[in-house]
Amino acid sequence: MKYLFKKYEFESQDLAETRIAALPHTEDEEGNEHPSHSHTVVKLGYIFTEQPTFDEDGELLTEGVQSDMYSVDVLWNASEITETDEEGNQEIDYPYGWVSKEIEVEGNGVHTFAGRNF
Amino acid sequence: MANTFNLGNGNWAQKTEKLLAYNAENDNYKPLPFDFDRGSTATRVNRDGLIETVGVDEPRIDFLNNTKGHLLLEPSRTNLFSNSNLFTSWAKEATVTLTPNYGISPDGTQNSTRMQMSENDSIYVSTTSGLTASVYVKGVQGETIRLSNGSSVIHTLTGQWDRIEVYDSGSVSTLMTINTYLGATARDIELFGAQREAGSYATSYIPTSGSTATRSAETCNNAGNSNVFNDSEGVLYWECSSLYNDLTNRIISVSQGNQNNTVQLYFDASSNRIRGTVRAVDGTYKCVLNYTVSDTTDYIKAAIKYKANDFALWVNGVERATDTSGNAPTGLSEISFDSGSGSLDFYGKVKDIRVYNIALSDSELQALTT
Repeated sequence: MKYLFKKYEFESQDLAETRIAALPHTEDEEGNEHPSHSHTVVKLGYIFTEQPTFDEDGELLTEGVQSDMYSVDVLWNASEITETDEEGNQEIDYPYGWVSKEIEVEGNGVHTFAGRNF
Repeated sequence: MANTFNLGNGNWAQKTEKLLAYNAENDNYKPLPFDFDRGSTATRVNRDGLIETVGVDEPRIDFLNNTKGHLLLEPSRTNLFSNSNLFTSWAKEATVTLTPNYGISPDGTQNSTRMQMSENDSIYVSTTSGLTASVYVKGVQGETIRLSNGSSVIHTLTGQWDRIEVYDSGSVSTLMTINTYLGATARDIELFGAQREAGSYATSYIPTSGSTATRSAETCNNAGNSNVFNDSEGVLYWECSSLYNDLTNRIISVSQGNQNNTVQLYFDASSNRIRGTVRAVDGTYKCVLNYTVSDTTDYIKAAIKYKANDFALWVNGVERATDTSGNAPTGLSEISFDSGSGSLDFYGKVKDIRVYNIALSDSELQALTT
C-alpha cells in the first residue's frame, strides 16, 4: 500500500500544529522552513456539527455549532514512514503523537482525498 | 550541439508513477523516466477540450489553450464544496429557477445546471474569507454575470464555457454568490463545477460528491543519470509558465540529489522574477543570475549556461545576466522538479525542458530561447 488515509482528532489546534510541524522539514538560505516530506496533511479544523445559516445579504441567521476537537486528515506516503528491521521485515512507523489521535468515521466523513474512500 | 535530455515539446509519454523524458542523441532514443507521485486523482483538460479525471500517480498532460500539451504540476488544494456540481443545494432568491442536468458541461456529459433569473437575483452559499471561488459559466455572448466572494467580478460571457474566479483577500466574506446585481445582464445561463479553495488563485477543478475533497500535491523527480549531464559545462533550458505570481520559489534543478552541486532555473520569491543559479564546490561557490519579466503566467523561454568562469542567463531570446568567474558543479546525476533536495517543488505548466552537455554559443542560445 503506497498511501495510507488516516483521520485524526486533537484536543487543540496548537497540538495539531505541533505534530504537523514535527514532520520532516528543510530550511532554505533565508531561514524559512519548507516541508521535505510528501505526506498530504489537511487541517479540517473545528468541524461544524451544525452549519451556520445566512440570509441573502450575508447576515447571520443562526449560529453554527462546532466540535471541540481539531480534525486533521492525512494521506501518508508509506515509503517515508516504513521501517525495515534486521531480518528485512517492514513495518509502518507513524511519527510520534499521531497514533493515539487516530479516529474512525462513517463513510468519508466531511472530507476525503480525490478518488479515495476512507 | 549535444542535446542529452528532452521532456515534452509535444512529445509526451506517461504511465502510472512515470513521466518519460528521453535522450535522442544520434537518433537513438533512450528513455529517462521521472518518478511521479500524487496520492489522489486529479483533473485535466484533454485533447478534445474536455475536463477528465486521471488516476492516482498519473501525470497530467493538460491541453487547456495549448494544442501540444503541457505538464501540469499543482500544489495540494481542497475543494470546500461537498457537492461541487449540485447548484440546487445553494440558497436562492424566489425568482430564480434552477434546472439540473440541463446541458452538456465542460466534462462532456449532460450535467450542467440551468439558472434562469431576473434583475438583482442571486444564488448563494456561505463561505469564509481567504478563499478563491470559481465556477464554470456559459451564456449568451456579450451578456454579463457577476460572481461575488468578498470582492466581485462582472464577467462578459463568450457563448462558450468560461471559468470565472474571485479571490477574497479580506476578512469579511460570508457569501459566495452568482448574481445579476449592479446591472449584470444575463438572464439564462448554465453552471458547472463550483470550487472554493484556500489560496489566492484557482487550480484545476476538483469534483466532489458528498464530502470536501483534496487533490494531493504532485512531485516529479529523479530523471537521468551521470552520463546524461556534463559537470564541466552545459545548458539547462525550459519553456514554462507559473500558475500565479505567488512569490514562492518554484525550482527545476539538475543536481547530485542535494543542493551542494546544482544547476537551477526557477520562478523565485520576488515578483515575476526568473532566477538561474549554479552551486559548486559542495555549495561554497554560488552563481546567481536574475531577470524580471512582465508576467510569469505567460510562457517563458529561459536557459542557464554553465561553464567555469562563463555563466549566463537567457530569457526570451536575450542574454539578461552573466557571471565571468566561478567553478562548474560536479557530480550532476539527476533532474527534478524541486531544489534537488526534495523541497521547493516546482508548480506550473511545463511545455519543454532540455539539457545540453556543452555550453551553447550565444547565437544558439538566442535561437533556443526565442
